[in-house]
Amino acid sequence: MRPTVFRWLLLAPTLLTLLALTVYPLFWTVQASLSAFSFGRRTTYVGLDNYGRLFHDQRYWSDLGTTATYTFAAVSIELVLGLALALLLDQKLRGRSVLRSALVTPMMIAPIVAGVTWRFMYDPRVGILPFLLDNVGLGRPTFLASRGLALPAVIAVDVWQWTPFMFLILLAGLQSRPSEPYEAARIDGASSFQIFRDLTLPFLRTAILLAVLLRTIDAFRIFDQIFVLTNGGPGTQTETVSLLLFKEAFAFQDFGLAAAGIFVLMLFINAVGLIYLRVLGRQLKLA
Amino acid sequence: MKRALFYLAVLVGLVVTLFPTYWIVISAFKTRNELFQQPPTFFPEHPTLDNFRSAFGDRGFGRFLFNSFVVASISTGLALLVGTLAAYSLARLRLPWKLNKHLAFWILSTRMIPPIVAIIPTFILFRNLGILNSYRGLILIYAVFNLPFVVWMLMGFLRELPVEIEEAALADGDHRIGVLWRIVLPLIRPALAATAVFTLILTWNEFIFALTLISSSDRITLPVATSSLVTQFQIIWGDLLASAVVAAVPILAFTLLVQKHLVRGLTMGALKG
Amino acid sequence: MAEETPQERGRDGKVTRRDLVSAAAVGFGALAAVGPQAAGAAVRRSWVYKKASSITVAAVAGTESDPLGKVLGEYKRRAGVRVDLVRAPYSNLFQKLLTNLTSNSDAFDIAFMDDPWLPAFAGGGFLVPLDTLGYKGDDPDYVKQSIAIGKWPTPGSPPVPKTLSGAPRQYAIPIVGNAQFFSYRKDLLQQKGLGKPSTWDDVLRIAKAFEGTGDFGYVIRGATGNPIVTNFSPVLRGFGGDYFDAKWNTRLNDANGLAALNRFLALAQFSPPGRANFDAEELNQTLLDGKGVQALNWPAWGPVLEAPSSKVRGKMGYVTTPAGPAGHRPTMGNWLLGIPKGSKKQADAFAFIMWATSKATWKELAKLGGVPPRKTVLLNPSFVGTHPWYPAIAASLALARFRPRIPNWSEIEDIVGRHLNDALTGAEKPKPALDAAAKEMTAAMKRAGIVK
Repeated sequence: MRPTVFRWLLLAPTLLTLLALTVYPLFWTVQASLSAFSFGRRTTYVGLDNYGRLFHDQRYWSDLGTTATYTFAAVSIELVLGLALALLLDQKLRGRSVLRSALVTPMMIAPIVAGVTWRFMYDPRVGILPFLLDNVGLGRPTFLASRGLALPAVIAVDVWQWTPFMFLILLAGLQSRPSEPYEAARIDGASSFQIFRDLTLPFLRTAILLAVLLRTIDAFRIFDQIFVLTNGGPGTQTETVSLLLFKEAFAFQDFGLAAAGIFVLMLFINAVGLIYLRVLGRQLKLA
Repeated sequence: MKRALFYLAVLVGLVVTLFPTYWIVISAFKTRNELFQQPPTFFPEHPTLDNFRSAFGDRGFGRFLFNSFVVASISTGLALLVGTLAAYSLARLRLPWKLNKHLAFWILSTRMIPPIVAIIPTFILFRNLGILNSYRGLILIYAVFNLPFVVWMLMGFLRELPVEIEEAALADGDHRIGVLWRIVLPLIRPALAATAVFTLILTWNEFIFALTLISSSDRITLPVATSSLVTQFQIIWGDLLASAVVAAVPILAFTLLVQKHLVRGLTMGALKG
Repeated sequence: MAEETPQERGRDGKVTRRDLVSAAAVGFGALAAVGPQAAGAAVRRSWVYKKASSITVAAVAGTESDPLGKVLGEYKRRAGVRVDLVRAPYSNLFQKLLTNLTSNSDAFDIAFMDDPWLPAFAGGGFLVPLDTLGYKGDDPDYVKQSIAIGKWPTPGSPPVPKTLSGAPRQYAIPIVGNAQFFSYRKDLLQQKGLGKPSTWDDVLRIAKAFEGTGDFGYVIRGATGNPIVTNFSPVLRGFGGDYFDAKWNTRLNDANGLAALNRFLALAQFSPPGRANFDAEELNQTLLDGKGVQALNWPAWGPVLEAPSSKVRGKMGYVTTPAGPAGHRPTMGNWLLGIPKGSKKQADAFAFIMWATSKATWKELAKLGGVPPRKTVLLNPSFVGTHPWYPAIAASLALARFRPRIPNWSEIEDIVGRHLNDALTGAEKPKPALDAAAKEMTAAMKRAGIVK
């Protein structure tokens, strides 16, 4: 078969199905963002009115800021922890297969269950965390009800649940390294740190980029856990954009504004993705 | 000294990761009264299987587990198969006008669509196709929404492989597909394993599409059923924890099965020969 | 040529790949069935009619729908119709109903709705008026407020522009006769020689008496949104305030509103730490742990508080919501059964609704933990022993007020909830919080076209 046809054939199922199932939602969203809604039904086109409203909507921009803070903080911490765990389990330790599987367990717990369980663990009166903190003399913080602590507390839940994600990808990256450069380096007498900096990290570039990129995209859209943990409270301290858009669409029935907000969010995530690829992905030759 | 610090940090990481999971698991064996006992008990004083009985007996969660199993496993398999082919094409085979880069980014951008956007149009679309409230509808949407992830994961790792091996095989008269199947895939086993685990987990725990697209009780998936235990007035802790624990078991089993593939292959050294 | 080590061709590798292939084969096969079957299904649905053998109800997950779920077997025996109760959590139920109703879907034959949703669903023209299916008239056994809440336009409520108008028609029948009441630890009060709370002043006095005892004198739901607004409403109205006036102008921040908020905040101080994120689960767990002395409550918790395993069984007293200067003002929160216009089994759905809400079925439902909107059941002496909170519900229902009957109540609730929560955490002072809320409320009402 001709080579060109063959490569398109390999791509065809992916491209066609993605196209079929994403084109209509995107078209629908753009159309909705340019329309007014009444009782959940589209009525008339209103041009860029919704975008105008969005521009002046302080809550949206504040939530976008909260979401960005959430994402960058969570992903950074997850990267560092995930890397540490991956480096540890890269070595031949006893019981490492069990340990590897055990470390993946937080991801296996449904986000809603994780949310309610952590909410319970954080409860100042009956939760295990304030109990433990109290025992070491740090008192019983009101994590989720405190304006200062709520966002970090919610980020901590994300870190708990998604560090395994980073860990697995980085471990796969570590396990895909060739071994000769290491042998050569050891013969040359390089220190552990030098080996890490000059050999391991470069080899991990792809894995790190993938992990950070994919996790960032997901974190920007976070919804389930926060809904259950705080529903965006106290006030709007932990309200992420997804939460707001869900409320706007399904509680306030303001689909037009929600659609505009979604469109802008998608543009934002696309921009972040592009930046990551440009800056971090120079090694990933995609031509 | 640095080593000790490193190990200390890792120990902290391990405890932090494992403790909540441990907490969830033991709590599933506690009665509601014991769950709220002060001071909290770190091991159930009167372990009970009542929660499991209630969830899987009275509430019939076994059925929902089955539904989840069918939908998640098939959609994961589909996504892996289709996505691998696409990843190979994008990573290795040159397309005109730098389409590799652009198509790859477009594929990634479909993952950036927040689910809220897609629910209503997907609902309308599926209704018109008559696949609302069906396994195949869910399988389709899950497979599709996981494709970008699969494609990018595998594309990344495929790029890292030196082309010489494949070129040698092709020069010897092998087909591309054969090369892919027998040579390339085994070399990216760790990536494949990780991707399989992730895709399975993401479809297994998916909530919003399952909620919107399924409207009869015998077809709902486990996450939807579990979320119904978080009611307006109370959280039915016992059943919730029991179902969460049981839900994690198939995934844990799959991970254990697959994690030996996360191990470094011996192939790397053999390549230079 | 590359050497393939045994590992690659080994058993481990084969399992993974074979799995992929067979799964894909099954998957492709399944997908291939979509095309022809989809076309077939579309054709079939449009012109073939048959008597319904099953109907589907979209309901909320929780004690509200549990009793109904338990009598479905009985209905199947009687009428030969299988009723599928599809449950979803509260916010997701609204989302599901909205999606289905606005697209005229036939997926659900009955909507199990919270009463604040009726203005949007009935007012928006998505529900079938029950008189077209044979609804004869109001059964006098119903508490008047309960049956009124299922009508649109709602009697006793100002008209709402942009919604269906005209003479009130019945669109839904109540299936849960929820009204707020007040629960308190009568044993603890007795120990201190205190009488039962009848006004908000009493509540404050009693709460103060428990300061420093390790028990919490008054427990609130303080989480932003619905929880805190629900807790605030009886105080607001008890002090003579309200969200809107008779012309839908905002009056939340008038003098009565401020007095109410100040009282609310004073009472909130006696709640456990973390109250700014409290919902019903935390409130009631505090009561169940024996640590809460007084709290507003909803009937759903009656059975749990009085369950055999409950620490506070037999120790709780139940009265109607305490009175402010303007009187007792419990909030009404009925759940209603209505029929979506898209349903293809409307007659069967109506038959089920009438059966489920009949006097006979209610006797069963009450035993199973249901909250009856019917006087005969609520005041039935045989129930008071096992359901000590029934008389309180009866009293509350008689005095209960609706939440504002507007289609955009969720938005208003979100606005008020945020500012109340800010006042609770101290992020805003009371008067500025109310003023800010009022400003946003007016803007929302203007956008909805309800005020100019």
